[in-house]
Order: sequence, then C-alpha cells, then structure tokens
Amino acid sequence: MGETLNFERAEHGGLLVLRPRHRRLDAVLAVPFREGFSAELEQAPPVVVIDLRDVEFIDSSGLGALVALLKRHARRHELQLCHVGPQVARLFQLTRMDRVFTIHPDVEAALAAQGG
Amino acid sequence: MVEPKSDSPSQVQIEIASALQQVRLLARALRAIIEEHCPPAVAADVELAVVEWANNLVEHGYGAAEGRITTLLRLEPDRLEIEVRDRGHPFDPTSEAGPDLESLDAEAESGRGLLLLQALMDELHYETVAGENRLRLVKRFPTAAD
Repeated sequence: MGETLNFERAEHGGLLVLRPRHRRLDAVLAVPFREGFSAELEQAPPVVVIDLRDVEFIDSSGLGALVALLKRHARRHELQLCHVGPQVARLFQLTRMDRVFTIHPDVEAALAAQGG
Repeated sequence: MVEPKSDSPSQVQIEIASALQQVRLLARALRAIIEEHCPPAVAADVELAVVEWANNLVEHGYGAAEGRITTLLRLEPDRLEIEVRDRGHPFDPTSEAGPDLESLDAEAESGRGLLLLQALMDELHYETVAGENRLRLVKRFPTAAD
C-alpha cells in the first residue's frame, strides 16, 4: 500500500540535510517516510534539517509522520525544516505546526542560525 | 475516469476504488480541473479537504473492504461544490465535537484530518440515503471584500 521512500542525504557544516524526493508526503508515503527518516536520525548530528523543496503537498498523515519524528527523536535531535512551499505553509499555519517546527527559508539560513 | 456530463459542462464526475493510491489520482485530477477555473489557493484548499475525506473513507469507512468512491464536482459562478459518495460505514464529520485545530495537542500524531476538513471548507453537509453516504463540501470564492 505504501511506496518506496527516495531521499537525498547531505551534511553541511555539522547539519544533516535530508531531502525527500517526492512531490506528495501523504497517506501513501507517511509510514515509509517516518520509518526511513527515523532510521537516518539514529546516527545523525544534533540538528537535522528536512529540505521540503520537492514536496508540494502534505496531508494530515504526512504531517503526523513529521510530528512522530519530532517526538521520537526529541531527546537527541532538533528537527528543522526548510524550503516550505505555499501549500505546505498553509497547512502548517492552519494546524499551528509553524509554532512547533523551526522553519528556515533554505539550508544556508539553517546553517547561519547554527552560527555555521 | 473523468466523465463530463453532457447536460452541464461545469459538472464532472470521478470514480475511484477505495485505495490510498487512487486518492492520489483523484486529488491530481481534481486539482487540475479546479485550477482551470479558480484561484490556486482555492484549488489547494479543496485538494487537501478532499484528500482528507477520501483517505478517511479508505482507512475507516471501507477499511479492508473493497468499495468505490464517487466525487462530483460542480463549478458555480461564486463557489465550488463537491459531493463525495461512498457505501462504507457511515460517519458524519459534521457531528464531531472534538477539539479544534488550535486546542489539539501540538504533539498529536493524528486527529487533524477532519479538523482540517472543517477549517478548509465553508460548508459541510452529510447525509446517508439508501446506504449511500454523501458528503457535500462547499468552497466559496474569495471576494474583493475578503
């Protein structure tokens, strides 16, 4: 029922950047996304940025997967987001998730916020 | 999959099987049609609302059972109406008196779908007629006054 998670992984100045290569983070992808990224976070540096530049659409299942990652790794990792498009920004605003996640315009801004 | 009705060019019917992958197809088809006629923000809100409801039908209304989900889209000059029909377990999303999106636990991993549906649409009407559940969603277009 789900699909295979595709993503890019890069390290920038101590930040781990994970970029899902999907246009839709929805009910089809939510579980593979949550489990795949959770495995990546196991060995990750303290700050992890999820680059959403390819993601045009997130539904409540995808949002639930992001919240699950945030909670599951809260003790050892700070999960941040960047490149949030207008439709995703609207979802975050409606659900007040813009107050829960740190959102940067891009990876450079996330680095700058770390003093990198 | 898309069948424009001959008597009304502004009405379109789309039918899918009850499966999450099919909900994706429904969403993309609806989005493409709505974007032809409406502001992108309206198309985005309607897409998300229909996806939330259709996912709910797949996961809870039908569950493991096979079934069909029929969506009728009607474009009016000042609004868009969508009726989603199914024959799964009835569930009236307008009767939910749960928390609103503002008071929902920020760390809750689920429970936002139906709240989003209510937040995104201007009107929701639900009825069950002869075993068929019908949710009618209404989205009015923004006016200069908004």
